[in-house]
Amino acid sequence: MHSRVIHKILIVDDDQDDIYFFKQALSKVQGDFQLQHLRNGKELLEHITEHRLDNVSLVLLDLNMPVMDGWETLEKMASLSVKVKWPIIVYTTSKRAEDVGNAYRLGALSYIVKPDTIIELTKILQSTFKYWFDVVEHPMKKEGN
Amino acid sequence: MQNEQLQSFFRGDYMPHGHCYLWQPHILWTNVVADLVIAASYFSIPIAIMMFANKRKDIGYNKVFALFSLFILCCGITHVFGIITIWQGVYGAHGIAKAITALVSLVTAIYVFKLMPNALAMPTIQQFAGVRDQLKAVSESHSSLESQLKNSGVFKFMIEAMPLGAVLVDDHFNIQLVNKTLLKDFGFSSEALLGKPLSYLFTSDGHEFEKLQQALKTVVEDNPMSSQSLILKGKSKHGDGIPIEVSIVKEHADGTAMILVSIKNLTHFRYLENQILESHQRLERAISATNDGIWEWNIATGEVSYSPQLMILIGQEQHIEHPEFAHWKSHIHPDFVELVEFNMQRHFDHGEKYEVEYIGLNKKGEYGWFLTRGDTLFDANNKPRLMSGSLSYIEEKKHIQEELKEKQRYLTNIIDNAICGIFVFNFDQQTNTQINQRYTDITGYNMEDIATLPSLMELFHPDDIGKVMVHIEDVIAVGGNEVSALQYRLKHKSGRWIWCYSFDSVLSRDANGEPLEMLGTFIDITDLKNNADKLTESNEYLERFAYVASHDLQEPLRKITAFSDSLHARLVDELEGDAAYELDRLKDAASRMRVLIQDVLSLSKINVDSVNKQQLPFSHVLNQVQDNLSFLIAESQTEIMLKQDATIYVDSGLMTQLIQNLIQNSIKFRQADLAAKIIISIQQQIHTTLIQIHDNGIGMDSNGLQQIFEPFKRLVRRDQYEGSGIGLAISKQIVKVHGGTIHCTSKLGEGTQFMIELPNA
Repeated sequence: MHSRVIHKILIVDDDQDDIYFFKQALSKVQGDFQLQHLRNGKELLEHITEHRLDNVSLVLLDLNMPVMDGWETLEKMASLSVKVKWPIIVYTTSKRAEDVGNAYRLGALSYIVKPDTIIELTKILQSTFKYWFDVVEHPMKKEGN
Repeated sequence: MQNEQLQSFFRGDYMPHGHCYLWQPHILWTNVVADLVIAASYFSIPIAIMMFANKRKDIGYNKVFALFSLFILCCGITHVFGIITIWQGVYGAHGIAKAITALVSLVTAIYVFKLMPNALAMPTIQQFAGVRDQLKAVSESHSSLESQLKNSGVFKFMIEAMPLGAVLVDDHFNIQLVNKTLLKDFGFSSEALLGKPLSYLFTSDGHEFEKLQQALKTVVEDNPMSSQSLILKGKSKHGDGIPIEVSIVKEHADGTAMILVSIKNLTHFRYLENQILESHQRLERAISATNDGIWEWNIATGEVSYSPQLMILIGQEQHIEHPEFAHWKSHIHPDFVELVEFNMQRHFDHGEKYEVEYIGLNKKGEYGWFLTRGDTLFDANNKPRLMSGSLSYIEEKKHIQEELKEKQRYLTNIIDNAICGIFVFNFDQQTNTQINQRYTDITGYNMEDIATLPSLMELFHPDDIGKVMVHIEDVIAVGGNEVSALQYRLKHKSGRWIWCYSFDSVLSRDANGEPLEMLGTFIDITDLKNNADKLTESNEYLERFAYVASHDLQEPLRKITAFSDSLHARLVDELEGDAAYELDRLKDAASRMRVLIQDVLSLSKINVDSVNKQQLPFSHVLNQVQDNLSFLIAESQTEIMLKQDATIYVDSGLMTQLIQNLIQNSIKFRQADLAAKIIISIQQQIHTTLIQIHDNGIGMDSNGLQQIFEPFKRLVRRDQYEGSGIGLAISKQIVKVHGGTIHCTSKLGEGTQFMIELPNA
């Protein structure tokens, strides 16, 4: 008998296609997920202000966005007086080593390059979720199983 | 008995004499007073006599005076006894006193008579006065004689002391007297000359002696006091000639004519004269030795004295004996007359130095440059009286000056037209003391501008000033003439900033090694700097563009791939025939596009800045490549042979990429029925390393060789060989950023050879 656990996932990306792919891939992953879509960093910061106490399992943050890009968002989050404990995973097309380094330096806990196909993305999500939801311990981890 | 008689003789008790007077006072006192006065008188007289005798010792006769004094004294004593006997009867003592008196009187009388003849011989007063007068006359005559004698001594002394030879001759011209000076001058003794004829002192030969004879004759015949003077040659004892001046004076003394010949020795004067002459000759020699002319001008009289050299210099040699002011003036070129006069007037009026350069006629009658200098003596009224100076012919000097000036101009021209600005910075004055024209061209400042600037330091850009100060310290610190370079911004006179590239060095130092001047040269690199900035900016922009473009291009491509993939997955069972083929082609195109974009991206990333060179063996690079391509190499059965290893100086990653590209190329273009065989050889040269990669592939037409390194050039059809067509462009770019070259030779059907030459450092 499994106790049913619903993981709340935030994806911050302005690209509607990528959101579509993500949803497609997510639908193929086993588990219950609540996906919320935000279009840029500004919306994420506002969301944090309003729902700081929410239990968010993962935040996928694109870097290249209008209004407020991923970099600025990471900097702003690091400078918040009360920090949220939501794991931030950068989700971008850039493979540049420089970007990878900067992302971790600014507080990202993982860095995922957007794959070319939904199948690939599905595989990535499966392993990512396994890692974050099953393997490691962290403050936002939900008790289940 | 005798005692009794003696006693009775000296008894005092005989009857006093007073009784004789019956003590009658008038008789008694008359006798007493008279005796008293007589005694007193008799006592005083000897005193007077002895005083006289004492004072007049010349008289002599002391015994007479003594006897008279004693005789009178004794008389006085007997009178005293006369008074005593009135009251006391000492008649014995009275008798003795009288007896002594009597004896003395007798002796005196005898002596007086004995002296009588002498006394009678004594002159009377009158007789004495006569004698005295006589004596006076005699003594006067005596003193007159003495004075005469004295005068004669003075005369003799004068004669002797005179620094002039003197000879007294009689009327037969025989020497009577000579003085010491003459003896000294002629070396004779007095005895050798006295009585000798005057001619003894002269050389008898020649007409000089005749002149003397003539003179003597004239003097003798002429009136008294006439005198003659002439210069002759004397003859010393040793026969040497002595130059002398002779004066002859005749005078009558005591009826005889005496002739005084004074002889002045001129030897010393001759010596002085010779000296003066010699010194004059020396001066003359000096004047004639110098190339300069010497002149003197008496302004009041207009007389001039020009040295022969001056007259020669100005081409007036014909007037050398009688120079005139006009000779000089006429030699001055008409155009310079005014200048010369102006300078002379200024010299007279204001005492300014008289020194003029002018053009005048030279000794050849041609015009040339002259320099005259002079100074003036002024009289009490400040009027110029005498002017003197020198004249030099300075044509050659002028030529040299002109040449120097020309050289200076030449140098200045070079300096001014140099490509760089040049300045001399003086550390003491903290400013530039010299700049060239280019300095002004570049910075806009001329010397006047620089002089009015409060500080040169203000011209430097605030961000560069620290660098400039450090640079100056460095320049001072290095020894010798080492130069060090610096780039800085300087404010142009117009206010804009200019970039300067400067080389500076210490130009001069003082005795302590402290720097005095710094020489700076600089060029304007503003345009270069701006271009470099633009280039950097443009490169950065290009890189950014390439990145963004690639990134943004990939975005939709990724989606095409993703959607077509998704579509394919959904419809895999339903698609058939053409539809399946078309979807497949779509996916293929998308993936090729992706490779292309990635290659363009990597090409844009290869630039000089990304090169990190190090020394490493070529085999390391090759091993990495073989590792990377292990599957491909194994599959294609390719054989790779490295003939010899060598150390190369390269960026490891880029070099791997380069060699990998070329090997991939060789494998890709291998002959269909032949395994690829790649031979790599390396040659170490002095400055470069040559890497040759030779394959046995399909080769290519020489027509295509020129284009293979250009991007997007495809020499073969895509359906035969895959690739973006950018691989060799990347290879060339890698070689280029290493500072090397890459060439290719190929023969169709035989193989291709790439030659890479890389610098060793």
